[in-house]
Amino acid sequence: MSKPLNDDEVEKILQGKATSRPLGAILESIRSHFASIDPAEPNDELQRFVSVELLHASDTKDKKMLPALLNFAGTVVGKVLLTTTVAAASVGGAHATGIVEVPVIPEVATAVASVVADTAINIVEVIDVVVPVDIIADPEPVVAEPVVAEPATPEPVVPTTVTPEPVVTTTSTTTTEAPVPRFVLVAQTFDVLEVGTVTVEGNTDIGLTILATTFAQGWDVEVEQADLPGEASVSFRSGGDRVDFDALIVDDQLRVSVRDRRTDTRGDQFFDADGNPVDGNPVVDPTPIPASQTFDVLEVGTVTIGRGDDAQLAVLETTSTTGWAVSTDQAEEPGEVSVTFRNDDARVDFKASVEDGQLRIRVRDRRTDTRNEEFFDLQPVGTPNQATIDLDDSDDVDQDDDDTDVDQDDDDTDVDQDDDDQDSPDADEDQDDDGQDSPDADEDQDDDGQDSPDADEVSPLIVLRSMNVFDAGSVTFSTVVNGDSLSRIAVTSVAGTNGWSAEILSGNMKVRFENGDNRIDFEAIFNNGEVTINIRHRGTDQELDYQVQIVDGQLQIEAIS
Amino acid sequence: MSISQKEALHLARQGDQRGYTALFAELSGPITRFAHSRSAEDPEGLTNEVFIAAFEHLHQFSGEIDDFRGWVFTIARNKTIDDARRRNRRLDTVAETVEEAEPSLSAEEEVIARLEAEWVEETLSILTEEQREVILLRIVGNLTMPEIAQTINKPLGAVKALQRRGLRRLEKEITAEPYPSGRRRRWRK
Repeated sequence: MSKPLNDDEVEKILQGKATSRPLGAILESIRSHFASIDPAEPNDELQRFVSVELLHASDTKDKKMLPALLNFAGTVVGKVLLTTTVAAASVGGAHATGIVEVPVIPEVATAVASVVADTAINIVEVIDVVVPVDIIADPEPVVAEPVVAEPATPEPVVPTTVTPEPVVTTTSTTTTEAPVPRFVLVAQTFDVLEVGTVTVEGNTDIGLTILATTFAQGWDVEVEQADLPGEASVSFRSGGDRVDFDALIVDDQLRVSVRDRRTDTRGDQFFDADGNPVDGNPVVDPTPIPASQTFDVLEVGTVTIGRGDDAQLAVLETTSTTGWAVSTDQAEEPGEVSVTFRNDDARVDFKASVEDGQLRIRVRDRRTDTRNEEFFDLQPVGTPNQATIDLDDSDDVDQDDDDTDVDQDDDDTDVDQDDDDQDSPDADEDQDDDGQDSPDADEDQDDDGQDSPDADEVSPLIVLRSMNVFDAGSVTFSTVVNGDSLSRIAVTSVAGTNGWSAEILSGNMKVRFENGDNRIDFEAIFNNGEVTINIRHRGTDQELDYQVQIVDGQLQIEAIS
Repeated sequence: MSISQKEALHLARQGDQRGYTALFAELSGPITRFAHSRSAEDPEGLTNEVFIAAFEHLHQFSGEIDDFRGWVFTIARNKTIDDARRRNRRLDTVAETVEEAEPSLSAEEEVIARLEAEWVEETLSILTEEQREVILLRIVGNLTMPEIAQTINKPLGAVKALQRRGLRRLEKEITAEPYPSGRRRRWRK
């Protein structure tokens, strides 16, 4: 077996400076394979988008962009835009843009038609778009070069999904009357929780058009195929998280629905044509997760749950009675929280989730294999509540269709979600099943008999944790917690089992376990406030990495695949 | 005259087309290759989508050029995830399509290219999903470790560990007995 890579060698190899090493040659081959792929060319949509984006910007903040726009559109895109002075047609105080294919004109393949609010400005215009007369503020004819276009059916190519199809006439000065829609919504922007915004406009005749979307960092946005004609549907995604926004004109009102799939909650709100909430509630908030709500879990402890920083249901605090250790587990389902109480072989599970607008609480006492499930109405945000969950008879067991989920818990393999065959389930069990550990830093400190004045006054905290290292023994290390970061880690004690010896090496960051020719290395690595732990079994060449971090005020050790 | 990336970002924020063009020219290659490496259905189209999203939301990006690459790759990564989801949803209903050969390639070149692509895919399949992502962002996307950490939203230490373990695993496979797990191996010189 070749000598293990160190960080310097890794860097050399990745920078292509060690191609004589087999791994370097392999990486270089992969690199050259992808390097042969040509970069994408900007497509029409991107070019068009930049045109429209510049046009938007010119309306609101930077008129000097227009020359750039014209240059861009006239050269790079290959489209011709004509400038003129346009008497603005007000669309509810905002603007709408569209790009309309104009056939037959050799020099003018595409034109950007813009309807701009408030005042006449220099802007591009080739054709006129027929706009319902009631929303044209100034129907003064556009002064532009006449455009002779055959009355062919133009195709809108606006880079959003639902766009009112413009009617292109044979002259540039004609507007035709259209029926007055019953409900005309001017451009309105809606906040979609913390994940982004959606701006829509429309009316009863043409439905809704998505004018713009924004998304918070870490989120992506996608315009979805609408289920209903005239509906605007947008989904925001971040990894496995998703929030849906749907808007539809219903009975001369705008109905906005937001569904937070993280918590499986949904909220509807109706607005009038001016964007005012119909029932006076200006907030679309589909996640009425309480700020905090504490539940007594049998006699073993309490769990306080509430709305976390990411708007999801989160475990805010746990307590346990004497003899019981409590741990917050990785949730099996999005929007679910899970807490386990252990006392030697005894175990009580607590799970909470928001379903159908209610808080679902499940408690399972594995000592007697009894379980209970209760639903609670969600309290308004900021209303703490105290509730106690009692267990019913085991009759409920048969009614619980959740056996599969519970059984999965027993495996304790859920932390290891990847296909890494080097990760042994044992290691995950070690992490999860370590009954000595309490994620509550204060408890650990107190239990350890160290100096522990009032936790509120202690900063930084010293937190002790123990980890089992395969079947060779355990390592206890101390970490110094400053708020949400770690400032130090050091191994404080080790214990060997099953014939293994354990030795703390110089620096108190490494531990060596030995059993005959077998050897296991434990190393804690501290780097810029981040702590990782590497455990390598030299005999089986198994290797495990863990990230040690502060999450929601608690020290967590998470396996890295 | 070429402009620096810092200047390009500044210009793009001002709505200057030169900024958009320079940023696209600098990053479209790595993004396209990354999209290829993630088996995107239409890497070129996805690359364009990435830049549309980035330019549309540039006003929300408050960082400097050092953070911009990571930010754009975050968008690219999310889009490749969406792309994979879409493809997975269609697997049951859409028959496998035969990729059309590049018209400029000879039959021999085409075979070589296909074998090379298979070899790359096989080699990378040794890695876990996270390891593969980190290594591809590094050697295909040319991202630094902090940029990768930003892109995949993991602590720097975790990214380093993933990279180290991925490389060790690759090296272990290379130095292992030939054909250890029944895989066909085609190491390139």
